Amino acid sequence: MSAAPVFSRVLHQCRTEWRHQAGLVALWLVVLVLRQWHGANEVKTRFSKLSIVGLDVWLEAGVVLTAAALAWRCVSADTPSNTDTFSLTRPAGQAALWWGKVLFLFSSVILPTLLVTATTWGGFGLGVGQWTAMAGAVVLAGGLVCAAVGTLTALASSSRQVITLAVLAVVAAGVWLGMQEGFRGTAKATLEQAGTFVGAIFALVGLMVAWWLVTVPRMRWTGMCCMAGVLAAAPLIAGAWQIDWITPPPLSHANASKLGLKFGKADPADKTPGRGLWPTLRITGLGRDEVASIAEFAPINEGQEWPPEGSHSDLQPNDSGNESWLHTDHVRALFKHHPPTTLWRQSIGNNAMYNGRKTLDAVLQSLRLKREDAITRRWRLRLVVHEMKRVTTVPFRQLWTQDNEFLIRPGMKVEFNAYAWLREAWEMHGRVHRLSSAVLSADSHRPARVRGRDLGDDFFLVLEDTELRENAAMHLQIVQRSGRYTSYRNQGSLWQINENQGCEVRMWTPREQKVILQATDDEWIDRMNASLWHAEERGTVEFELTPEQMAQVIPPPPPPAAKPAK
Amino acid sequence: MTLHHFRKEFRYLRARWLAFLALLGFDLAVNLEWLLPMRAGVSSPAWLGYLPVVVLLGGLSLLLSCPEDRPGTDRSFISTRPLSAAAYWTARVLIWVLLIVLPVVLQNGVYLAISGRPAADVLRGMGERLCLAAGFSFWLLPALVLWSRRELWKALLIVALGLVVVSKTLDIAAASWRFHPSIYQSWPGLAAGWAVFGVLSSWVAWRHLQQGWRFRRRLWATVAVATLGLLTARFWVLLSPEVAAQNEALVRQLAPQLQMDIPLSTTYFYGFESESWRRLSGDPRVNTGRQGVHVDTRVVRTQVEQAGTQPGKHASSSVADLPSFYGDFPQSQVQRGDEHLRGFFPDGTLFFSFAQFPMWSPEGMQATLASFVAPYPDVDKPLRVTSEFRLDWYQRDLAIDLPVVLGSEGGCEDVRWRILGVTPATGPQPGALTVSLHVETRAHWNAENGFAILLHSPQRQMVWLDAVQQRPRGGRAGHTGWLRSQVDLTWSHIFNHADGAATGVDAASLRLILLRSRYIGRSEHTWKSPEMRLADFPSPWGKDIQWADYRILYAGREQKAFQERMATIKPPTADSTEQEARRYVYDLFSAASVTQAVYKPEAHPLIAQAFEPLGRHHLPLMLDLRSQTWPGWTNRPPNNQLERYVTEDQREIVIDRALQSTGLASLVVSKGWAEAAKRLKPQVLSMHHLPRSGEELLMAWNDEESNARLMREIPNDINGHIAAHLDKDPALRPQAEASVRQQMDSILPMAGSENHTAIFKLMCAANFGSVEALDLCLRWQAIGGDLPPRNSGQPYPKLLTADGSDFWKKRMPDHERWPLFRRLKVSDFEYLPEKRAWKFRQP
Repeated sequence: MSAAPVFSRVLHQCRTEWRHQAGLVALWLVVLVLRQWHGANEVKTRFSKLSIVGLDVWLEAGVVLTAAALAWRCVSADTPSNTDTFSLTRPAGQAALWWGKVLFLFSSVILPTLLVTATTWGGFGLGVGQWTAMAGAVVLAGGLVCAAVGTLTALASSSRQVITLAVLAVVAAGVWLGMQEGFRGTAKATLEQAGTFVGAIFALVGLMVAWWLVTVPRMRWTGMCCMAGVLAAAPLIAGAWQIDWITPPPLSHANASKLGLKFGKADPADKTPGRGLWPTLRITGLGRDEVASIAEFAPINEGQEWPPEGSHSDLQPNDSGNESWLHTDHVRALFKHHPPTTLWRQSIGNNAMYNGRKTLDAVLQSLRLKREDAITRRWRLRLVVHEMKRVTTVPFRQLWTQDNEFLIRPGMKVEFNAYAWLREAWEMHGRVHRLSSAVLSADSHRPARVRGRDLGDDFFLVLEDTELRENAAMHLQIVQRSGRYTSYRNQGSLWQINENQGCEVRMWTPREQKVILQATDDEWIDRMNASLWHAEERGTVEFELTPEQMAQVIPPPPPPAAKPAK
Repeated sequence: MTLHHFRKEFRYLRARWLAFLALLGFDLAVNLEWLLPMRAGVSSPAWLGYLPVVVLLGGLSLLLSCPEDRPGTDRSFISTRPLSAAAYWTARVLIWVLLIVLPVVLQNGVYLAISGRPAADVLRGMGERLCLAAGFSFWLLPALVLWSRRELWKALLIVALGLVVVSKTLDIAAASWRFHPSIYQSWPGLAAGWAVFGVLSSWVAWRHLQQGWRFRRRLWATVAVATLGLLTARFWVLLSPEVAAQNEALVRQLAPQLQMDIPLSTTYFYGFESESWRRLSGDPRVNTGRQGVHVDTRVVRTQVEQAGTQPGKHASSSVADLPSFYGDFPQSQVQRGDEHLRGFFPDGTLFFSFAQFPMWSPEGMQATLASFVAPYPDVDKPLRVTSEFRLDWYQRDLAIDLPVVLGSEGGCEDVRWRILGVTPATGPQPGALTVSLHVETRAHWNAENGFAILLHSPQRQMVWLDAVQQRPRGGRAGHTGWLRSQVDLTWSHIFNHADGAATGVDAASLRLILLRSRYIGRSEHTWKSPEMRLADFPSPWGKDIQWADYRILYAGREQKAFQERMATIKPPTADSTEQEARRYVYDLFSAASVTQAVYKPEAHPLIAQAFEPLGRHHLPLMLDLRSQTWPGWTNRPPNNQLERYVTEDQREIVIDRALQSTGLASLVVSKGWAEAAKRLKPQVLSMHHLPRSGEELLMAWNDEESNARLMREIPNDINGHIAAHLDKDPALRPQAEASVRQQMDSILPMAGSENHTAIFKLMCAANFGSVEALDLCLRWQAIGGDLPPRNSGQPYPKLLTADGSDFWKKRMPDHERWPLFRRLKVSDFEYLPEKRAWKFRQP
């Protein structure tokens, strides 16, 4: 009688495991689906009763512990270290037994995780590379849990050890959650992510080898040493890893050579006077929808750090809890997309340019410089250029009544809930939703960094009243990346970025139109279109200004007017 | 036999118990700071936070007993011992009490005694510790009976899961009543919950010993009793007493003389549209007759009488309305910027708050006078309201006053302070001061007082109400009754102003002050309103149109943008429909406000010109729309345009509507129809809440009756218009002056945080000759650069240069103005009563 082929024995063992563990697998699937549903539901709802309960951590721990329990039950049923299990008498053979269990764990733990989590990956415009990287991350994370639990269980030979393992499992779940939280702290593709990715691959291979050694050739001590070595070496590898293929480079303006500055009062005969940063300092060569923001403007003091204290920036830190940095110049850049006499309103919730750009006198004041000093030095001007891009234009009724989502670029969407009457106002809650692999950057460049903060994606929602020819540009109040705010949700997991930056538009129906035009809310809603504009970064550019040029930028004060003779 | 068994168990546990005692000794040494004392600028080790958990686990391990004598163990020999169950359990309880609970309680007593606490506090601390230690450990005694070793993990897992499910379900269900049991759960509640769980588990264990229950039955019974324990813990706050009243005798003494005046002139009605604001709110003026003692009012019942019926009766309807959840605890009452706070410091003290939110400012914090429930009364018909108030009495005092010097110490019965470090040069802003403070605080259950740490500079006559940064450095001795902690506090601009100029402050002259708030008791008060109509009270949110105010979008091209926009709009003619005319009005107002042309004098002729077709052809419509707010200044186009077109034909219509808007009242006055409008006088005089239009008419009538009514309105005269009007009458001048200067008494001169009303009242008082007010204004101007980015501005009293021109007309840049005001003193000015202004003595 010849033995059945290995593949048949592996499949047989896998089927056996499915029969034995069906109940636990069902429980695991329920927890997995519940976590996925809760995660998706949580980011979409505001002020729901569920949000005050804080189920996240429980479901996260539940998923890890149930998966670990499944792996433990599966492996401990035939653990080679336990003489009570008679595993050596099984006709399947040790190798087939091991492969059967691996196949079972793959089909019951890893594959369902992949399928359930992948349901939310659609609609982000991600390419094959990103899908492969994200699927690989799920397999790697699931594989690590199964391999670690499998190896430990295979090494255990008594109930006391099993209890020790259970305690270890709880500790490991804590470590796991800690790692997740650590990754959530950054929500960025970084060198750290690359190091842990490499370390994790090493750990997975090492643990599988250790499990194999313990189970098939029954080399218990060798397996234990292998496991211990891997667990010790993996963090070292992760920490020491230096090859960064993830972090994207900063972006320099592609047409920097075409950009230039003009100094002094504009000549009326000049057909390309440029756009005024100040009346005496203008920039030329910008694209039609490009807007330059001053990142820093200050003199260069030899031997001292630049920018010095008091340097001028349009992009001041925003202490209101949102990341908005778009300013009035960005609103003005939209004017040309509508008839010239259209009336514009704006609602910008950052204090960067509330009263317009500081005057040059005020800039000198904050630098504690007098004109005579200022025009003897070289100055540096650092600009960040963004291009205003229309994402979509839809009837306002569509935003008012239904949920919407708009793809901004691969890996990033803006999602809006329908308007709702909340907190005594009409509120539209939404989120900037980023999803991508953390080990394969979805972005071609990293955002400009000004005064310690990234200039993240920012948007205007423009309500266009085509009949009254009035537009209102509102910023989305995108919440800062901080766990302090309930509308910031980072649901990323190991080697995957899944981040929701909440945003909201809060408004009231226009009372002046109700009173004067006797218009109803419905008429107002139906009259309008809504456009979403995105400020897409074009890059950073720097100029150096000579003392002579600065003398033109800061003209001498006009002589005091002579008092008329009495 | 009991003692025999106890001795046997003790021998088995001896080594472990000694280790437990050593752990308690270590905990005591750490709490007393014999080990790891707190040092300036050094945070306590994080692992100290786990010490109480380790002590608890150490204590619980003593209850495990030797394995052979554990009743739940399969291998136990206990049933074969010649020992009665009573003797066995007595011995077990003795072990629990003598080896675990007693040492913990005694350790707490020793800690409190060495810390110098009075005997009553030592006993109280030991009592609370007893509840905690007993509550948290007793459950293990029955648990050892109930579960064999094999069952233990499974049972623990399922009970824990059950508790999580029940807890989360409870949170969701309770949210419907605006009650969040997890948030309100207190330590006494938790101890009580564990105790309930322990006692009921004992009953289950006893039944199990009697009847030999199967695993599943024991499990469900345990889940049930654990759920009861959880409910006890969560809802304990409903049963537990509120913050203990500390001086009810004083309340009894002061309550009969309490003066509570509810002026309806500052009352607002929110309407019945908004779900959560169906109420009448106002500003009760309460005088307790004792400096430092104030009351907090809360409506507990409102009864409405309208045409002989009682439409709806309000009473506390939600769990969240129960007294325990008001949040009116001493801590929330300490930050109250009123005359009592001001009274603790010398006259002329300027207060400063860095807080982004107006924590210390009473502005906008109106009290509820009546709360309505369905069926609602008719807002247009007269009614009377009877509200029953609960008055919570609080007493504040300056409990500690220390010099800011390294090593200085001070204390009161609640708190002890020691300054561990004074660092004058670090901080987020130049000239900052950082103080490392060692704090010991009395922390018994339900006995908490409110505290705020103030910094006082007698040199600068300033009090900083809050630090710009507070950095806790760790604490210890939690749940002992006497908490120790360390905090680093930083204040900006103490030694240097924001522009770098030295303030001249000497660190040693600064005082660190503890403002303490204590709940002293409760009384009741009933308010019966006069007959009134709810419709007569304005909504604080207002129904006026808020015309757009975008200062920057059209900056520099306001007039041009307005002109270009209006060039695209067809003016209405006499034949135009009302709808066409309305559209034109909207376009005109919208363009004028959004482009800001309304605030550009050069654009005013254009606006007047654009208004012409409306005035000429659609006057009735414009009169109708005049009851709404129009954009721009009240005496500039378009607001002053109706005067050009309204004739005697419209007189009665305009007078009829005069009370609906200030604009129409102004029109009545400017057209010389004030006499004719006197038919409105009875109505105006009977109005509780006087609108601006009413003020306008009273000022125009300018008779004895009208001026008497206006005089009563001075406390609400934020802009000083009424005072300026009354000031013109020589007979009324002294009374108006006294009344304006008296307003100073009710404000807190606080820079930084939101405080608009105080700024206006201060300016008025300065203009009416108050030296103290002018001095405060000058010093407020001097710290203009030190104010946080979001502040409510500064007072600008009327100042004249030496040649008599308006000082403020010459726009001085900030960097010149702040240093100038730092040099100025009141003696640099002379007061000109006839001009209600202060004149520079020298050019």
